[in-house]
Amino acid sequence: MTGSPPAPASLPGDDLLNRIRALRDSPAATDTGLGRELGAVADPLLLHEAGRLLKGVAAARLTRAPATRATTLRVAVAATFTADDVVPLLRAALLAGGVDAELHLCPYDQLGVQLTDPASALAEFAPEVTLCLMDAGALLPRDWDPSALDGVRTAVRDRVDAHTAAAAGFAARTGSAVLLHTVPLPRPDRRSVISFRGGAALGRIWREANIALLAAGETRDGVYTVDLEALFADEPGPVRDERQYRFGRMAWTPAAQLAYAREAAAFCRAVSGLGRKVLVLDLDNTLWGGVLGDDGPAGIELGTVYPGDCYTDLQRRALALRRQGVLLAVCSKNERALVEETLAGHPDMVLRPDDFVAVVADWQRKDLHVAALAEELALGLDAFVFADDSPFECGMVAGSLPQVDVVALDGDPACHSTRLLEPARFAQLGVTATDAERTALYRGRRERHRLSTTHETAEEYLRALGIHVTVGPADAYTLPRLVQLEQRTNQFNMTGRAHGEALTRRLAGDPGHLVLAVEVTDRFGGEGVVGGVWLDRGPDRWTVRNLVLSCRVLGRGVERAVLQYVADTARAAGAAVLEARFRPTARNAPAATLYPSAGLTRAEGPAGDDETVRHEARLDRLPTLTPDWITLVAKEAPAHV
Amino acid sequence: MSDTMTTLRPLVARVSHHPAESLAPDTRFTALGSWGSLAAMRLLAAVEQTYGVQLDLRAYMKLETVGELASEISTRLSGGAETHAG
Repeated sequence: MTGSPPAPASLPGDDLLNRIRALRDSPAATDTGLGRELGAVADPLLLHEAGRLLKGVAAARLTRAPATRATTLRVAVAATFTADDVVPLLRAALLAGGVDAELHLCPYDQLGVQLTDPASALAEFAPEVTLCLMDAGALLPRDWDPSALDGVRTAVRDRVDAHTAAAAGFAARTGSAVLLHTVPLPRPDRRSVISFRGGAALGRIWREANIALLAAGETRDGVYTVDLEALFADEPGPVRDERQYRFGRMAWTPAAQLAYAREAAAFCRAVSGLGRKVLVLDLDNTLWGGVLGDDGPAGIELGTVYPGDCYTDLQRRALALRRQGVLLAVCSKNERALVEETLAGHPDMVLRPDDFVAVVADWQRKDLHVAALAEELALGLDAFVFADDSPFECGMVAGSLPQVDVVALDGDPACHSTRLLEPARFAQLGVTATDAERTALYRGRRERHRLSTTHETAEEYLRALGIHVTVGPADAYTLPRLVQLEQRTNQFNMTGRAHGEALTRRLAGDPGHLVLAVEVTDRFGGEGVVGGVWLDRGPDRWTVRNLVLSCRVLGRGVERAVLQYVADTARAAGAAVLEARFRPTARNAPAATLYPSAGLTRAEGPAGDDETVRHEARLDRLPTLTPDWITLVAKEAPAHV
Repeated sequence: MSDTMTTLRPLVARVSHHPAESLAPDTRFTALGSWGSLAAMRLLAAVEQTYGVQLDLRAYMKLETVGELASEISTRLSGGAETHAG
């Protein structure tokens, strides 16, 4: 090399990496736009480096409004192939979604052992989320015979069954949510069958294997399956680079790893209950084409012809979200009467007034409306998505309400549905019966909120509500909702922890324990299952392991009625002492006063870990707890869970 | 310094976590702290993506310095060697 070298060419993304380095090197610094930019990175090598550099950096420092989760999510990666490079990609994808995680990578090709051995490093790590990555080699015998496909079918099915059983066993034993995925069959394997009949048979064998994996994710407790084969169909290029696979058993190209990491991060958000729950929609050029005030109801674009069909499709997508529990609201700058006429009467509208929890149409600032709606619905702003075609409105909401996920629906309307649905902002683990009725539940909540502003005193208002609290053992219908509730509840959660589905199911079915579901109804209708109690019941002492209550029924004394039910039931069973545990977290201050104010006193002695405090009281000394405006109803135990 | 070397340096820098300025044609891959087979594969994927070439893995694994990789890429770019389809 002679003379001075030319200045090195820079790579796209160097500036992003420099910002990450600056953030990492000064622990007090924040770079609040970084999370969103990481979410948009398409270059796997760039995101890999970003994820590597971000190790140890908290999500709060790179998002404007971090997800409000009290603890770090423990996520394990266990693969049948070399998947080391998934870890930094996953870290970057999680941080972009506001999730702090501790990641654990299992040794290569030990998936089965790690899942089944109770003393494995994986079990020791105690993951809340376990990502199981499989390549075709985990399912297809190395010496498979294209001329004897019946044998191949049996061998593949046995291997799939072994993997799903190991996953379900691990989920049941540890309470971890386990994510499986469908597995693509590499091209050389497909091409190894030279006859068209044989190719069809092999294709069917492989689809049956993937169907078995999907069935596990559909029905097995704690096991979930992402349809990766379908996801990879949208990725350009092969899933596997033959050279990398032969050289180092790397079964996924960097692009495939990135696609998986994004999907896995969405799963982690769902596990953490961070999926968005409310969608606020604009009307003009968002829910329909054109401007209602200028074009009139007959002139707006909807229906089957482009571009009207794009807006109709967006309405269908929104309706699908509503049916799965997402609340829809309209926030539009329009004349209210004209909007109501169009929503109710336009023949091509898919969404109707009943589909919305609120319709706001006036000329006020939209950020103020969104904030007011959050208060009326008693939901955090971090549950909200705001979709609008106007860059001005999007900028306004993003600027003053950083917790809201803002979706700019500018550009070609044909792309609006995709832009709304990706990334998976509304991700949930499962849909419960309550989810389908959520719009009606929340409309009642808004009316309640308005009633509360017309009464002189809180007690007068509460009496006017006519609250009934129904408590009883969990049954097959309420149990999934209880699991979801405990995971999602941060404020009124006495320990900030969640038992998970497997453990809750076990406690509910065991005579030494008890799981209670709490339902609330009032004159505006039922709120559904809004609380749960997890109990150990001994002959002399009953212990409340955890008690959670949805924030939407706080401030009505419901928690005291629930504790009354627990005390009454324990006393009737012959117990003398009620013990209850409280563990302070960053967010559960509203729950801190329940046990002391109910007459339980702080007890000495450890309760499992350092932070947890035990409270106890003799059952014959407990005062009446249920407020006089609440009617407490005991629900009969179900025959079986 | 060859044109390929100029554009390759920031790529190697990104994979190896070394500043581009510290990389010379005679810099050996094994001398880069965290270098290993996973880093080598990430670099291979990035090189092939960036330059639109496909390298023979056997030849690639024998390359010892950044400069050797630059000339291998240049050779491929000028069609000097037969390319292998994956």
